[in-house]
Amino acid sequence: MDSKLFPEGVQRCSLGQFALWMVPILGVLVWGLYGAVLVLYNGIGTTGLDNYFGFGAWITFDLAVIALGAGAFFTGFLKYILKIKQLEKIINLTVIVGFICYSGAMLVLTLDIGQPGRAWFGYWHPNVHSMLTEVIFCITCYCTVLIIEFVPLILEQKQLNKIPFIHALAHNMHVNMALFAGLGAFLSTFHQGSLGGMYGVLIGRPYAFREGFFIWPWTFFLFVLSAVGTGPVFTVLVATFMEKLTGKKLVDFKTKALMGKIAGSMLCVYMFFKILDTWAWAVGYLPTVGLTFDEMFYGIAYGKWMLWTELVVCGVVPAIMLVTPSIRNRPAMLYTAAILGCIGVCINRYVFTVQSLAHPVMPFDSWHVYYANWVEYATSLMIVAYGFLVLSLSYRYLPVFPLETKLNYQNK
Amino acid sequence: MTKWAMVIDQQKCVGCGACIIACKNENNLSEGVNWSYKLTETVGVFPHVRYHYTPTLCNHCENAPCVRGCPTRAMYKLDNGITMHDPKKCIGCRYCIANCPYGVIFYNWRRPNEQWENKDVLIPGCTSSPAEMVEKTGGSCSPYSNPERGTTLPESRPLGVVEKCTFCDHRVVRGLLPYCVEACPADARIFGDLDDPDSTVSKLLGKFKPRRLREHLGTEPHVFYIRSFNPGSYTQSKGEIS
Repeated sequence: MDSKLFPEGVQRCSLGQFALWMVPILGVLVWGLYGAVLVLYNGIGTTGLDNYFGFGAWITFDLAVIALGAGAFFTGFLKYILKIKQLEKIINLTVIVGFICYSGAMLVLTLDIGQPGRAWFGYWHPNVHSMLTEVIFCITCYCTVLIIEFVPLILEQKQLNKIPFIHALAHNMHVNMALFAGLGAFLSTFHQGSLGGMYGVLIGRPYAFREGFFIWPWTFFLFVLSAVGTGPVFTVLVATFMEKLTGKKLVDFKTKALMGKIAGSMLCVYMFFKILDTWAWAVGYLPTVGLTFDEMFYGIAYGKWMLWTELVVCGVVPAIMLVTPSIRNRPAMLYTAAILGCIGVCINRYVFTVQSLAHPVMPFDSWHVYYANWVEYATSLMIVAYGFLVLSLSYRYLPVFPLETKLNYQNK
Repeated sequence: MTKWAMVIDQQKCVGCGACIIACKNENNLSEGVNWSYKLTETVGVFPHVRYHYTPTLCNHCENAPCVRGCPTRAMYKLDNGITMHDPKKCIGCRYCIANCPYGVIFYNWRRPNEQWENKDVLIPGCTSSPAEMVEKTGGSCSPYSNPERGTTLPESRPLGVVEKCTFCDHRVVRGLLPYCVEACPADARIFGDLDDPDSTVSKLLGKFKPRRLREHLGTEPHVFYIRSFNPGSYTQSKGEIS
């Protein structure tokens, strides 16, 4: 029924099948929307957050998806600025994934702040000394850049592109895309960093606090590196997941392996500095404030197992796997390393958000354990469902994968 | 230049909580919000056990991390050293809560005094509903709300913003002491100008070695603690070798 809207030369499932696929996605979306309405109407008292845990599941989710969405700016930088041509086979997907991650994160942030109607106050009454102001500026600007990068892809939709003006507009936007890629790389580097800096400056939270360079704590640089070390492979995982779902080849393995190599190189650099940072924090900073390494961990929720999992299983191991050609070039190994890397960055964002706050602040205080409630899960899953929705529609109607025809139909 | 500060004499503080209640009344605080509070430390092993109280409130730090971190300048410093908060600029991001090393900033998780919005009467035709009580007494948010609080801050702060102690700035500008100081039955809280060498706080800080909470962080709190509390006495002895 809607086959005229499909990209040139590709096949898609029937509209009925597609509608059936949409049912569970819309179901989760509606469930999340119900949670969101409760939050907007009754306030965030409906969540598991409290005065001890001002930040929780939402901020962890935001930081994680923003890190995983870093594939967009980093791949854009490599493709348009460093001119690595092979990445054009996956660049559209990185833009869509980035757009989903950033717009989703902004939707969650809208729920997370107590006064969503005043979200623009960060521009109107900016405090130039606050890392959060930098985050607000860069994240909103970069989301706009991602929209600008996504628009040409929408304009290339087969029917839309028949209109001469839209065709010319899409073409001209493509021609100038290097400018937006450069702008995106600048903005995204800064906000990935300032998200880390936001924690690094918390002088009262010894788990997160770090010394640094000039005004930036070390976490500023570590967050940038961890994002570029995992964002590209997250896009590879999304592409592979789509391939499994659709039963088609969408991106050639050579491109995936290249993404893995890029991410692996960055992950190696990240792990080198992360291990140094952890060591300096444990033996340098903590003793100066009268604390020991052991005092930074508590029970299962905030145990040392998480640090070792992040550093070793989901850090050093995937870094080695991704930079070793013989391992990286085996699909199963590449995907395993990618999954481990992505889990590692999620653990990192979780501990910086929740464990930093869980550590006792005042004398005679004790550790608190944070439990997110269903509202936080529902609204976070709503964003995941939103991602599925955008990806499904994009895949069905937009020319996302330039190699799809060649890989699936021309050989036959 | 006046720099307001508070000295808390822990020898005198008996942990009665009058300061907490006075603060709640004076500032129309909702349930769960305590600008003034106390830490209770249990020391020793039964039967040789005692409690040790540390009253807490916003430290009005000279180098306030909440002010530096607030993205919209809703947290700001007054020239007299008071750290103020503007609920009309606050976006409710709670970064100040994460920034505060003392855990004394509170977020309004629910509508303030929402129990007083209830229109149901307990005994129909006999008692008033909470909402009617508020109307009859002319209170803005509860029957006992203090209108004077509204002179420098909204009388009751809305849902979705943070709030904290202001050293009762609305009283201080009228030459009155903060209400927790006024209400303390043991005179354990002493308020005054840190820059005036003849003020009681300056004299006390000169006479007793003060401590400040988490002093190593460099936040320069304006709340000082003197004389650790010790209610016990003991028979003079040189101990023994068992």
